[in-house]
Amino acid sequence: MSELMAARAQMGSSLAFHIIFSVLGIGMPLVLLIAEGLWLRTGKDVYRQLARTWSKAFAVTFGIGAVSGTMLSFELGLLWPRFMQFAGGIIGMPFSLEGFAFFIEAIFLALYLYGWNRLSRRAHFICGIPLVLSGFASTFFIVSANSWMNTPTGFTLDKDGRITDIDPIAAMFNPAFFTEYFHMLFAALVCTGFAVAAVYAAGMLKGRRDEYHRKGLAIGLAVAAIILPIQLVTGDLIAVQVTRNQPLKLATMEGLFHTTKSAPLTVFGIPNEETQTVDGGIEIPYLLSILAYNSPSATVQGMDAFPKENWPNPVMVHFAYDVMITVGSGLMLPGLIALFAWRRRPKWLENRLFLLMLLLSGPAAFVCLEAGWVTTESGRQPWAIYNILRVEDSVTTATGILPWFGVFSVVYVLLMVFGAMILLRMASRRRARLAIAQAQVVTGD
Amino acid sequence: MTDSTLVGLAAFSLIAGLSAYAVFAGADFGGGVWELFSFGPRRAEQRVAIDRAMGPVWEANHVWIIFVIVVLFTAFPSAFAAICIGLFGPLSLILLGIVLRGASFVFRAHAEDQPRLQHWFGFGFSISSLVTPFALGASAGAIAAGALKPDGKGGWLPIPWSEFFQPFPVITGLLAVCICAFLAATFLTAETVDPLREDFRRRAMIAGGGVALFGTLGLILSVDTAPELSHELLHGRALPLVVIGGVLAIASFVITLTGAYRLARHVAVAFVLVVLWGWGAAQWPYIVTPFLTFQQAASSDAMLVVFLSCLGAGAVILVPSLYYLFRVFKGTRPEIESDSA
Repeated sequence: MSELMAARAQMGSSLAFHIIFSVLGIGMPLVLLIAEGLWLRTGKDVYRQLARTWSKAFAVTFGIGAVSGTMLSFELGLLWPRFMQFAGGIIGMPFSLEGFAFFIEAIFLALYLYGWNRLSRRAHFICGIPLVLSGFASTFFIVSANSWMNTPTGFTLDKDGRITDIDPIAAMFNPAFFTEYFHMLFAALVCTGFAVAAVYAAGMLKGRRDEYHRKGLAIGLAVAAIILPIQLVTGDLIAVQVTRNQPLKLATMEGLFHTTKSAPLTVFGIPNEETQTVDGGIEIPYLLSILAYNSPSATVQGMDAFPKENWPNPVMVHFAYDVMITVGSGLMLPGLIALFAWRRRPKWLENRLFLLMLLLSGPAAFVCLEAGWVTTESGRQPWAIYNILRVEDSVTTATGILPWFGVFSVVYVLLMVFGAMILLRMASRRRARLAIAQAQVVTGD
Repeated sequence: MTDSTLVGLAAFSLIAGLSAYAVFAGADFGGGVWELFSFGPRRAEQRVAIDRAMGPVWEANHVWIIFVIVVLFTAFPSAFAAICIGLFGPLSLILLGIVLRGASFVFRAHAEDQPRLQHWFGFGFSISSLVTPFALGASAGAIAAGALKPDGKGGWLPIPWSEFFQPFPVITGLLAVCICAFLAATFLTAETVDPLREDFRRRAMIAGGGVALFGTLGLILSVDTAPELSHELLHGRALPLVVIGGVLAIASFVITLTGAYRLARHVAVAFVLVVLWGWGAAQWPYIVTPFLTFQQAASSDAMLVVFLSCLGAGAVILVPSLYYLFRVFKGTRPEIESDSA
């Protein structure tokens, strides 16, 4: 494996890992706050129990996220020092602001988590608000840096390749920023919602059909089902934005090899670089022209409009894009069923098939998340900074990346295994405590 | 050209961030070191005291390293690139240490019903608490001694491990470990009662002795290894700080001996700050000795203005939040159980 491939593999696995926990770091505070708010409003103890259980679980996922986030801040420099040297002076600011946001989140998480006994109910609830806002702010800043890599603005290159006229604010609010931000934020909320719902669906499938599981499932599913339709809209806005700013990326996502008037949308299939067709793809006439330009007769640029050395990997990008679209649309189903059944057929919500569907929705939401991330990141290849700096010119000149990649891969596996183990243990301990308490009630202790 | 006041302010925030990291995270690292070297009849109690002191604040304490990194790559991007390429190996080791440490600490706290697993997490936590500050201190020593060299093609040469394990970086690494252990033990004397307090008092004296030993050795070695640095330390602008540091070290020793624990805590913090700012003053104007000055490495004026404004605005939100955190958990009501259960 070349040093470049080792660096890409290490960065890729770090990001794929971190995105799971960062997404929970954004979404969990919101569901926590909803549960605690319901407790304060209704006085029902089941909501307090949910909030306390979630805050403990969140402490574990936040800890893992903090660790993997620290790894990324190091890896930016360790693996891509030449990228950072170029970009740091232009887009470093959102990273610094993210540092603050993360700091605030860590502080209020500590207050929230360790403060159940030390703070008044009100003060404790209020500590949850900066927790939510700082998570949203972190997303804002990190996505700003990422979207700048797609649509770099806020500087000029003079004829010697030196950077001049730096405008950090313009760099931060680059053209891709707003659509990418909302798409990522909503993805985080949807994933968290489905993750929570899946946990309680699993419990109910095992026969634990009590108020605690029902309410936990309801909060998770409500968050996911309310946000997901909005998420589909932001997805559409992104497609328009990418058409304008990164036409080659759009063409690769859609498997569109040739510039086409009234372009069809090709779903599924495997792009074939030799025949320049999508093997086994299903074409929906005019749809791509409509999605990209709101007009069935619009011409959409194909990959052939761009030099081949700048092409991303069409198979990977188109496949990831298909997965995102298919799974993302499929995830609408549980929400729609719940909406219909809520008043008219409440029994459906306890049905094993529905619970099974919800259980699958948890992992499916994260598959969708990873697929979306692969789409945008692989779609930018071979560029680290679109049309400015190639990935191979960003990698470190130091050697010996591969052994460290091996070491850190083992670390990630261990983090996953132990993290999952501890979360499962936590749940079974809660049940054991509950069983003891119930036995005491029965025997009148 | 970059405005020198802006560069000065950015350099100030960099060293201020490093100071915060050294004091807060340093004490946490030290806590881990004392777990590794916990001995005597009250081993278990010592461990519990360390965990209780760290639990609510460790996450916030370690965010400072991220602060230092972002200041470095935003305000001094070319120095960041030089350090990352030159110290690729040691920084990877530091990263591994930080990761293992943070993960083991969280996992151990939540594995209270699995003693065997908890034991292994404890071991991972304490061993990485030792390795990480060592590698950090040694990296600082390597930079100060001018071990990072340009490759002549606009990039930098990665330094081999053999050069990293030279006497001077090793001594600065050991100094860093002792400083962490000293801080932790001193803080813990103020957060415990006898007989545990006596244990930590003795440990503070031992670590203080280590600081004095490696500090002196470092100064002596610097004469040959890092001549510019030692000139500033022994004859130049950093001399007053060296003198103050010596006075504080002796004062801290005497105060700990007499048992004025709250005062000892302040003196220990002051000592650590003096060591860091003394290093900064001695190395100034170089960020990568002797090839890259802060001025040469700095971002554009436009960037620094926006960046420093953001730091100011961020501090307005951050400082009260941090104050609140420490008031709730390190304030005057230690008897209330701050358990997360």
